[in-house]
Amino acid sequence: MSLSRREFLGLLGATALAGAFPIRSAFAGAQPHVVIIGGGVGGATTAKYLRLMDANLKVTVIEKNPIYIRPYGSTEVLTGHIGMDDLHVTYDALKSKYGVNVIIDEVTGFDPDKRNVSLKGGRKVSYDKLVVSPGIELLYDKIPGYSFEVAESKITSGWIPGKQTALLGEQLKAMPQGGTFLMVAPPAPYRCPPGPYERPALVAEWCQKHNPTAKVIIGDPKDEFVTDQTMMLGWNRLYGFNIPQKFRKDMPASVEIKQHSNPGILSWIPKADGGTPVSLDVEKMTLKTEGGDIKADVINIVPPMRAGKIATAMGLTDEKGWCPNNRKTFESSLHPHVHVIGDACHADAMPKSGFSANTQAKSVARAIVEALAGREIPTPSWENTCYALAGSDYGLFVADVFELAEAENKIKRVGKFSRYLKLDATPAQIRMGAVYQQAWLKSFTEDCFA
Amino acid sequence: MKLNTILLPLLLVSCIGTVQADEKKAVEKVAKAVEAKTVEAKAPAADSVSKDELREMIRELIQEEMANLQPTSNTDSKPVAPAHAAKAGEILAHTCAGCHGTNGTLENEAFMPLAGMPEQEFVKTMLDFRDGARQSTLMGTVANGLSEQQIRDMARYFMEVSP
Repeated sequence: MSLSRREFLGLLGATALAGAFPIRSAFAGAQPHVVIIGGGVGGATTAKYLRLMDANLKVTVIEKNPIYIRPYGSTEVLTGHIGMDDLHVTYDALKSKYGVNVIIDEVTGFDPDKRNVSLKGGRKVSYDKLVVSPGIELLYDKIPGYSFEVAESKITSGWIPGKQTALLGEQLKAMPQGGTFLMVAPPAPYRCPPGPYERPALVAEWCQKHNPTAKVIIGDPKDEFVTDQTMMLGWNRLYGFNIPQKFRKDMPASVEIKQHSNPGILSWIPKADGGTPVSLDVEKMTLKTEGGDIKADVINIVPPMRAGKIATAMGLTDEKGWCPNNRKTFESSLHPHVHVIGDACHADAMPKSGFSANTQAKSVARAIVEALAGREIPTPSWENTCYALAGSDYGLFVADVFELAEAENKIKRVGKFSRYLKLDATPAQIRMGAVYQQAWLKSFTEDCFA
Repeated sequence: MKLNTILLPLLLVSCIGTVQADEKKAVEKVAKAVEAKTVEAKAPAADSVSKDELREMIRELIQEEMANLQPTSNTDSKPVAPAHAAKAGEILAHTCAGCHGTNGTLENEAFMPLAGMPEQEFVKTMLDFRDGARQSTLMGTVANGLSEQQIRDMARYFMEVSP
C-alpha cells in the first residue's frame, strides 16, 4: 500500500483527535512515553523510579523473558544453599504497584529518527525517551574450542544464570572424590568483579564438607582483581591458601595471616604464572593455558564479554564493544534520546555491577524527568557496593561513592577511605559482612523490582 | 474512490464503541477536522488504499496506541502536572536504597531503616562513620565519600519520609 501507517497517523492530525478518543493522550503526546529495553536490574529500577518521580509518565519495559533470573548471588545455587526458584523475580510489582507496562517480546527493529522500536510480535512502540539496559553478551568463541552449545551441555559458564547454573550445580555434586574443579576467570572489564573469586571460594567450602580431597583451581588472565587482598585473606584462613608475597607485603603486621605447610584445597594461577586460557579441549576436559594443560572434572568458564546483543544490533556500541555516552545523563553518544545504562555502558571508575546499574538507573530516571519537564538536569551521584563471600560466614566488600567530572566526561571515585573491608577487620566485622551480604540480596532486589 | 469518503464512515464506526453519547459533538468535530486535513493534504497516493486496508490500518493503529498505554496510567481528564524537581538530598538518598530500602523504608532487620530518622541522629551517625569515631563494616567507606553538606541534605530528606 502506498500510504504508510505513519503518514496515515500524520494525516489524522494529533490535535484534531484530542478530546474524542479515550486514547487521546497517546495520539496527542500529552503524556510522554519512556520505553525501556531490558527488564534486568537497570531497566526495572529505571521503570520504578520514573513512576515514583513522575506519576504522569507512561513507562513501558520490553523484556524477552517473563521471569527475571537474578545473577547476583546465583553461586549459592551451586552449593545448594538456595534453589533455582530462589533466583526468580517477577514483574508483578512493577505492573501492579507502579503502573509500568511490561511487554514480553523481543526488539527486532529500531528507528532512531522516528523514535520507535519494532517487536518480534509485530508491534511497533514509539518513545519520547528510550533507555537501553541490555546487560552483557558472553563471547564464548573467544576461547577456541568453547561455544554457547558447549556451555549449555558440558562446560558451563552460567555468568548469565539459567540452565547452565543448574547444570553446574549437578556437575559439582557428581564430581568424583578427589576431583578437580577449574574456574576460568575473565579478562577485564567484566560483570561482577569479585564474582569469579567468590564462586571458587564457595565451591571450596562445599568441597571441604562433601569432597575433602578435591582441588579447586582458578586460572586467570589477570595478575590482580577487585577485592584481591581481602578475598585472599579469606582463602588463607579458610582453605589453606598461601597469599603470594606481592599481596602480603603492604599488609600491616596486625593482620593475622596463616602460613600453610601443605597446599590447601584452593589455588590461584595468575597471568604471570601462566593462568591465561589459550584453548579448550572439550572431549579431554582440558584447558590449555599459557602455563600448560589443566585437566579437570568440572570446568566453569567466565568468557570475555561485551555489551548485550541488542545494544550492538541497535548501533549503540563502540569498537571496544561497550556503549559510549554522556556521563551526566548516560545518553548515548551515537543516538540522541537513547540512554544506555548498566553493564553495557562505559562508566569509568564504576564497576559493572548490579548496584552500579541500580544507581545509574535512578540518576537517568531523574535526568529524563527533568529533560521532559524542560528543567536543568541536576548533578548526579552514584554509589556501588559489591558484597562478596569468601565463605558462607566470611563477608567482604568493595564500596564506592562516585561523582561526575563533567569537563572530562568522566566518573570518578570520591573519598580517601579504602574501598575494601579493612585488612585487620575483626571476626565480628567479617561475620557481619556475611550477614549484610544475605540481607542485601533481599533489600536490593526489592529496591529494583518491588 | 476518494480517501475522505472511506475515512469518515470508518472513523465514525471505529469511534462508536469507545465514545460516550455526550461526546458526539467531539466526534463530529474530529470528522470535520479529518475532512479538512484530507482535503488540505489532497493525498494523491491515498487513492490506492482499499477499504479493507484502511480499516486494518485504523485497527492496528488503535491497538498499537492502546498497547503503549500502561494499564493504570492517568487516562482520565486530569490535567498533566509537571513532575516535581528533585528535593535537596534526594539524588544522594536514592544511592542508599540498594541496602536501606526505597526511600529508606525497609522491612528487613539487618540494615537501619532511614525513613523518618531524626535529622540529628542521621547527621551524627554519618559524621562518626566518616571520621572513624564509629566502627563499621562499610559505612565508613560510604560516609567518607560524602561532604558534611551532603550528609545534612540527606538527613533532611529522610526525616521527611514517613516510615
